[in-house]
Amino acid sequence: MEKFIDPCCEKCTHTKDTPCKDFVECCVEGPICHDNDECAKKRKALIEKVALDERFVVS
Amino acid sequence: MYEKHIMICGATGCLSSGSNKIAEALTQELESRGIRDKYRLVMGGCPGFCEVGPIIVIFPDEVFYCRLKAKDMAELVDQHLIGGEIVERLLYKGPDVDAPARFYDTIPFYSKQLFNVLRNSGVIDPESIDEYIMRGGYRALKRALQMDSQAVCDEVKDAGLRGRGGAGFPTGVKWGFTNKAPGPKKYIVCNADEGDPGAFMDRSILEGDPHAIIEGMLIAGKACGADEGYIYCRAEYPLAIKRLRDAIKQAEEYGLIGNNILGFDFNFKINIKEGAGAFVCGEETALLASIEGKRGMPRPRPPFPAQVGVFGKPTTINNVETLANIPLIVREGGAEEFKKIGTEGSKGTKVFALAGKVRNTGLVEVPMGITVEEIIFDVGGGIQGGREFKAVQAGGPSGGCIPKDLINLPIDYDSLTKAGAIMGSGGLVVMDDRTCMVDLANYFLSFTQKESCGKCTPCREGTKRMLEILDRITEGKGKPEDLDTLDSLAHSIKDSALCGLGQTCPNPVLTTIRYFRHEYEEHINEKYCQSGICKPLFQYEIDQDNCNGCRACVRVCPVEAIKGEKKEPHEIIQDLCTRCGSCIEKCRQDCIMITRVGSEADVGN
Amino acid sequence: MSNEVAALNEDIDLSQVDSIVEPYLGKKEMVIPILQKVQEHFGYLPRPAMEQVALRMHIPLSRLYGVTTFYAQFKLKPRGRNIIRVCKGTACHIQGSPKISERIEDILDVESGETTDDLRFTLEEVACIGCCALAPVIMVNDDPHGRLTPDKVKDILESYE
Repeated sequence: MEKFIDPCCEKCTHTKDTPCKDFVECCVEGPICHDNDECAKKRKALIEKVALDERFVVS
Repeated sequence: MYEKHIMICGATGCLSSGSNKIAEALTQELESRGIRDKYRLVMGGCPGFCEVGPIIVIFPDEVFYCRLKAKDMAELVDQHLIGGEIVERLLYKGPDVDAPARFYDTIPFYSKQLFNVLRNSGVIDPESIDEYIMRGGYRALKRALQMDSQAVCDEVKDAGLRGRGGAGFPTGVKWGFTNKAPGPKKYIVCNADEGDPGAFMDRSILEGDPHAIIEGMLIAGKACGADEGYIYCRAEYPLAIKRLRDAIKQAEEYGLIGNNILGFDFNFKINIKEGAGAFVCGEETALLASIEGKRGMPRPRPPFPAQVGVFGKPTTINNVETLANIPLIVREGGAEEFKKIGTEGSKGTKVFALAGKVRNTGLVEVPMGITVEEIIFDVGGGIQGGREFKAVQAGGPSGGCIPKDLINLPIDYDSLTKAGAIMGSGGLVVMDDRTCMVDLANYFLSFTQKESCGKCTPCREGTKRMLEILDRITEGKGKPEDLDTLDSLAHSIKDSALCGLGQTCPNPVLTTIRYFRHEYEEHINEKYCQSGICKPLFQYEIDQDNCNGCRACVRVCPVEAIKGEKKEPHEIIQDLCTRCGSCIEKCRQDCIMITRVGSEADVGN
Repeated sequence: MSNEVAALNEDIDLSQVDSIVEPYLGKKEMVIPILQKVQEHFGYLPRPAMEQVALRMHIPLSRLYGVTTFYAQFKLKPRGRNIIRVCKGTACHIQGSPKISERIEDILDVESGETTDDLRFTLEEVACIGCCALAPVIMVNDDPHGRLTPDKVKDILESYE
């Protein structure tokens, strides 16, 4: 997962043609549709890479 | 994981003062030490303080370095990035701080600012949709998609958002008109044709946070029942256009623009139209004509664009800053937060481009209702060179000047209108005692006269006649009755011109007459321009008591009109002097005086 | 100068115009982007190219001419190798841009909108570059020169061939 649009695992189905209602929240707080620490870590890694400080992420 | 994030201002202002070279030098210094990978370099949006550019901000330390040169980068890398010590020499210094200042918390320029619209500018990489999403982006869109379209209009109306582009019409009401208009095809147009000379806030938003505009347009689309949008942007803003194109592409890839957005029954696509350089296209009906590929000439309203807009379909036209406010308002609890800022009739913040003879020029975002004094003296740091504040021009060619006496005026839509100016797009140009108000009026009118589309007579002919009179006054050929004629022409144009630009173009003349009538009278009756601007109405003279004969002025004079021996007071030969002003810029003794034409003879005899 | 224009006009490759127009056929609302692209290609809008656009788009040449003369961006004459744009924004004006223009006009012996006989410079005015903090500003090609005084102008111009 290098961008939020990349699926974290095969359970993520969001694409522009098969949109998921929870996509936006899922980027930062996900995964939402399933529970998986690995998938959550992937998102966190993306965020930590660019977050300038603790106030950077807004939900 | 990066050790530090280095945000280099990549907006047009800093690029002009060389931020590209800074970025190159910094990259090279990092590479030569083999530590490039530890740091994230972003050419980001604008921190606003153009005066002291180029600017670098280092996170998470939040250290603000300014007035940088390429040769400073080695020291910055060794001392700060590697050594962990702040390079004091490169911090902000000025008469308004006791010690070198680190960042927002200690620099007076930022003390009264409140970042809402500019919340992401200089903080995120504008080319990354992911970072926009991390900052809470596109959540307001999701919320809007779950709501009824009229409920979205009502929420924006209830928040009290008024259009940031000119007249200040309530945005939610405008959306409601389009929403209620019949027909399946409707459009949203983003007016990014920022043409006011001295205003560049829209460009900064487009360059620094393009996704905010896109999200704003999508929400507007939902609220108005539109499925297509146009961004009409000046061709003079190539970087803004590039960032928008990239952002649209990303949003399409993410399924945030397109069909069935986020799985809702909502489709939207966005097109970009580049303007071709016509000020009048900032007027909404002219802009519509231009999108349709015609000469950009306004037409009478009604019908309003909400009924008959682009390609004859109901259309909402919103300005860039208005749209950038939308995601903040429509997000959960956003409207309540928004209402807390500002005054009774003007909610939220406003971005101003602060320029002219003020010390701290740049882009500032302040709550509505802040006073002129706070903006110019607290944020702006007062007048350059410690000269005297004379007036500030608000709202560009459609606005008016606010004199020193009204320094406590709160800046909001209604107070400005009462003072004869307008909020306009938000240019604030500060003037000191070396600015001639007649020349200023002449400047604005020559601008609107040149840009008049020529469709209606009051604007086409009226501005021409007014300009002839002003030209005459600045040339020393003014007549006592000129002021009354100007006043009556101005009011006829105000009452009868076809479009908003025509109706407001006499404002600079009217306000300068209202507040600086004595300057006009001095020009007309005494043939004297005390500010030293109108060339036939003054002369330069060297103060014989203070000139130390340094010859700086002699060297710089292009027409050899200054004579005098070294260490002896110099003298200006009036017949040769072209009043180019080179000498007055150069004189370190401040001994070149502006005097009445022929006054030397009076003194001599 | 007029001979040069004639010579230039003979060299206009109309097939280039055709390929620019191609994607927009039938979309009359796209004339402004088309003209922008044609100008980008030739540096200005040569008459034969305009005629070709009119023909292919089924738009009267007179209407096309109306559009081009309305917008400041469109140029009907060839321009110099270097374009000088003097910012006429408010901040630049009160910081002395008229004195800068005057000095450039003196040195090059052209007025705003004109091109020097040797096609080295075209002098133009622009409403606002948006670098108000650096006023007064001129752009030569893509290089901004800020915080100018009249005596700096000569050296700047000499650095462009």
